Amino acid sequence: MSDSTSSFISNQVSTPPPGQVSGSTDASQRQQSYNNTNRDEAILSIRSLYKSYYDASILQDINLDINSGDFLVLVGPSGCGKSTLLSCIGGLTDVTSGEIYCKGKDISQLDPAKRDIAMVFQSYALFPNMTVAQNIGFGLEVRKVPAAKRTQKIQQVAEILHLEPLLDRTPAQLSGGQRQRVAMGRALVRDPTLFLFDEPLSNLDAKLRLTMRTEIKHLHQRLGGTMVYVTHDQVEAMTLASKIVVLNQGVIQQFGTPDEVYKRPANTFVAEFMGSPAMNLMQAKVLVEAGDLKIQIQREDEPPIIFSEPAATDALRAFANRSVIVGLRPESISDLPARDPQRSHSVDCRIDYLEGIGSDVYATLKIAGGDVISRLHGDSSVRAGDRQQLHFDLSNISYFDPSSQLRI
Amino acid sequence: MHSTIKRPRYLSYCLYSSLILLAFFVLAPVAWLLLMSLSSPTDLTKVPLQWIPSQWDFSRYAQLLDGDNGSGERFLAAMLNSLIIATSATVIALFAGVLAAYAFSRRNASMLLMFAFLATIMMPPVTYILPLYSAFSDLGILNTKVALIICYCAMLIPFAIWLMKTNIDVLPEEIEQAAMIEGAGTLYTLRKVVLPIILPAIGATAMLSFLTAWDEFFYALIFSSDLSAKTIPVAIADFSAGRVTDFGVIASVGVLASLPPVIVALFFQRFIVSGLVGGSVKG
Repeated sequence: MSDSTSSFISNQVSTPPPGQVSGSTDASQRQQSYNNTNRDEAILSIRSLYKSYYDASILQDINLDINSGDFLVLVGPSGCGKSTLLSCIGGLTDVTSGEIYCKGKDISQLDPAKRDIAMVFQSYALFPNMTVAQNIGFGLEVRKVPAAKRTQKIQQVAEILHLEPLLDRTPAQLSGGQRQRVAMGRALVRDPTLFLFDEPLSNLDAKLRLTMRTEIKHLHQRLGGTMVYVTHDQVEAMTLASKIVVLNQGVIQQFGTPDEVYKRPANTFVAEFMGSPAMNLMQAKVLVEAGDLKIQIQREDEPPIIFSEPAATDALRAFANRSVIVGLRPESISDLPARDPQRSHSVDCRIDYLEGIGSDVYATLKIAGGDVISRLHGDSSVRAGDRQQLHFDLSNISYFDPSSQLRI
Repeated sequence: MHSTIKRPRYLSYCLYSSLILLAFFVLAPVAWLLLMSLSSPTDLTKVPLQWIPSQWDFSRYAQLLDGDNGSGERFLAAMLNSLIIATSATVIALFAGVLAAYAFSRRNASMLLMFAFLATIMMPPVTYILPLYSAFSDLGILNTKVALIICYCAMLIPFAIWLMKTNIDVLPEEIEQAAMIEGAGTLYTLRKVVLPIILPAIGATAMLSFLTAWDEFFYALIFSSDLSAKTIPVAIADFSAGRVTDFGVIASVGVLASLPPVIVALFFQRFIVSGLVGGSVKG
């Protein structure tokens, strides 16, 4: 455990200062992290952005900064406001209040055409009356780039995206994946300040989605653009992002690197949303024995699980003799011993049922009245109803306050 | 190859006889018009009627297409007037209609205004005649083509807006948003993206507008008095207003007057193809 509160305070978020990836910031630093210096350095800064339709509040107090070359992924369940936020950045939706700074300039009231951004739509939104080449070159034509230069740039982009043989076709003659590529080509050809992606892979089949995901990742590494990417798929978020924003009901739940969001979720919502299967959340009690902090998790008809917490923070100590929620990822409850023997705790458990996925076996057990999923090795020969010695890896354990659901 | 499902024989008979009946209803008047225009006056007045002319008489066409001759001059002038007026009104109506329809469809222009426009064409034209007459008279444009162009625009624009709006409404909005993000302004987007996609609708609207303006009789009758503004429907009426009516002449004028709309229809028909939006959004 660490003393960090870096990630989450109700609907405020903190941004690690440039260069610091997963550092810890206290409350006062958090306040300071949204000053003007940061705003001027960042490629995209959003300050207290609100959006509501009539009485319905879609986005509330959105604050974030991203730097040049960042790959920001907005992730959240359906209707959380992630697409609206992207649309606000793109200028397709008016903001109710707040500012959006691009390279230090407030663009929130600017026409989309003047924002120097490119967008890849979920529906691709290709121009049906134009060929692939014309589609890609549209933005250049608007900007009156000379024909020779235009052709050259279209060729370059077509090469990157393997579209050369298709340049003279119309969108109607393309497959879904090819249309997707053309839509990306249209964005890439202009070299804008910011790329926006609105669930670009959601209309593709599973295999193509994987290929395109890898391709987008490669493109980002190769071209180094700054990207804002919306998805509801948390695997996509984890693999693509350099920064993740987890949204729920229009409020930022956590803003951090994929590692932070995964290992140190800011609240129980993020803990359960990110990762598949979700993080196991268990009711537990904090005990103090001779100055040592011990965590006790009750089990039905079986002795409770008790382990000591040597790395306890002051915040956790404040919960002495009170309940907390313990969060452990399925891979932290395994039949294999933990990497750090100091932080490993073995428990004899009864396996309720099993789900094999080839590489791993997910075993479900009952702890503290709820289902807990543990990840066993794929070759595990354990059967439903068997007892098995499981190793709890406590190095990435999370604690949450049961009343506020926030990380302790 | 066309249909793998076998139709019962009686159904085929029904279908084909209905088709023949329909074709007869549509084509018989046109055929009769053609026959009349080519029959001699004696054949046309014979009792019982001589259906097939005893001799083919092309003299009326020669007469009508000869500008030096009295009826030829009247006819050709009316044709030219009709062409100028119908074309101008159609072009203006399309131009205004597309822009207005875009405003109603995408820029949240008040729907109340739209219904107000539509309400104007619900009223019978006769209610407008008096105020329009005095207004045109004050402006000094009675018996000019401009007066008729204004009238026809007022008739066509609401209709054009309505047709276009329905067609713009169904376009995926992302396509325009994509154009705007790419840096295009509204007019550029309209010209390069929206117009090409709704070309079929524009073709249909142009055709209907042209026909409406070409065939309009009432305003033309009231607001024109001589060759400078008279349109073809009024000219046809004039030919029949003499003491001795030659039905053959009227028929010939009718045949000639229906040629321009037919040509327009053939020309615009190639725009009216479906499936232009194919492939733009997810498939």
